[in-house]
Amino acid sequence: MVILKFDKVSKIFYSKTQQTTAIADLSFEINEGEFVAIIGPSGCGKTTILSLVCGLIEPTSGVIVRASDNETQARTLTDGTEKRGLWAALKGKLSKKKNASEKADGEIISEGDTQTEVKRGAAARLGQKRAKFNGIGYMLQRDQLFEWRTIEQNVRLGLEIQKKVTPNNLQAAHDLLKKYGLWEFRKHHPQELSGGMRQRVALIRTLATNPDLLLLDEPFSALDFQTRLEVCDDVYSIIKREKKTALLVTHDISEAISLADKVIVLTKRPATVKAIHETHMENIDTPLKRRQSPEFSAQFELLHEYLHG
Amino acid sequence: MNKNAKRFTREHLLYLKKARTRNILVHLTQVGILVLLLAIWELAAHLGWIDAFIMSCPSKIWSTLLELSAGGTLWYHAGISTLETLAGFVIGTTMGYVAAVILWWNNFLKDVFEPYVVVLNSLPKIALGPIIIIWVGTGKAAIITMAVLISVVITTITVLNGFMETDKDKAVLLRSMGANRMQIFTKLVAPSNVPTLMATLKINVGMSWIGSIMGEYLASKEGLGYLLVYGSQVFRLDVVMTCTIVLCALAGIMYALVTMLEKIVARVFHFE
Repeated sequence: MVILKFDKVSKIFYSKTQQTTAIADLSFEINEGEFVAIIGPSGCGKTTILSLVCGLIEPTSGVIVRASDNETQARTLTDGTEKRGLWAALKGKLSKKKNASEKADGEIISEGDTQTEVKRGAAARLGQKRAKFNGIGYMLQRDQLFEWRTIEQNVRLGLEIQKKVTPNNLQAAHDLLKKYGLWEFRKHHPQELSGGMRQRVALIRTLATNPDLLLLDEPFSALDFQTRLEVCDDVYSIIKREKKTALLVTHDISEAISLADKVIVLTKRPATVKAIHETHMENIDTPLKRRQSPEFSAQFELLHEYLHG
Repeated sequence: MNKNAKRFTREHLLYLKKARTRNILVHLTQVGILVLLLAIWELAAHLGWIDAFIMSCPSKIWSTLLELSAGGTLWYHAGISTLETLAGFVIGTTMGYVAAVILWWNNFLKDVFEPYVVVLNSLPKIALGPIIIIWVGTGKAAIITMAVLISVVITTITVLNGFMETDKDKAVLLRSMGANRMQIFTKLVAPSNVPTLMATLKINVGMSWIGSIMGEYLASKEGLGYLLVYGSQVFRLDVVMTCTIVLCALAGIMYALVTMLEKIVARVFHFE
């Protein structure tokens, strides 16, 4: 089933002197359990895509569908669209007298509100198949651990924000800490841990809210090469063991191939999909081994060609 | 340190000893300079190099200090000034912090009030003295108002700058978790700006002393500022000097207390 879908999404930014089309007609899908990587030339709007996926900004046109229940959907919509949605519902009620059949399934499609309502409708449809959507877990370039919080307190940050600090959820977070060798450091502060360990804590913090989609924004770029390979293996095995769907955004071709099942290559700005490449390396169980496999360099050549050709 | 002494190598111990010796030397020199200056001052007054009536001298200051404190006059005035300063410090810092929170919260308000804040900051607050006296009167309220006015604007500016410079990526992380503005403030902006607040407290120790003493210069019948003005008017330079020294000591103690608080807070929040 589809966890995330971009359908002809465009985003235009306006400034005093110009308007910039960051992405244009971008369409792709991420299925449950997949590890997808997005690569593109630098400045191609990767950050824009991440912000769109998180719901931090709204697309200028097009539709983003997240496998979402209504609660999460309401959260990810901005205030403006929320009001529009209400307004549409109101208008829908008024027009009910004229055309009662249109209101079936709660899908009101009225002029001007089409985008919001289609999004809601589609989300609701996906929601039927999946009972609970827990949103997105975003892992940023640096670990972004809060130095005034202990490891344990850092890990429960998401639960606090989402008001889900229950004994069960805390237990799950503690289990993750135990499972990945951080339990004895739970009372420590981030600055006492090594870069690799901090990154692992950041991943566990992301996993603690049990998100359906992990968003990785070049999560290893702040680490030196040796550590990066180790942490990459680490993060990959944790994501696979926890059976998470992940979207990695990077400019590093080798990282994309070694981690992902599917690599989406973007053009330079305005970003749109140039190619979708399947790595077919599911049988190789760690990113490091993938790097050493014979197909790796051929795939690297191919993707390099896509990117710069 | 002593607990781990066994684990240190000989070279390490030597290094520690050197560091300790240097530290002691620094303190000794500091005290030495003070003693030397006082000695020269005293000597110069006794030998007639300087006029002790205008310049006063350490022994006269000491006897004045004893004389003034025996009657309780000095402590009465010092106490009044300290209270006014503390009141100005607490009220000014609180009001400035709250204003910074409001301006951080609402970008529109921040843009609207920016020129006002800039102008208020550049304005020499002493110029408001006459207005304060007419509006608030000449008592403690006027002096506290002055201390508040001097510390409040700088607090707002410093704290707001700190708020605005909060790590943007951390805010994105919280927003991706679904945090609202309140949660971003309580979980990120406020705790990460504790060092900013501490720095502001340090600035405000000085600011509120300036405010209260200046206020007492303008209009008051009590306080160290009053005593200073009185001393100079009756040409009792030993009183003026004594008051100055007591003022130095009080401001120093208050600053030391804030530094202590800063250290404790840094330990609690694990800021390096």
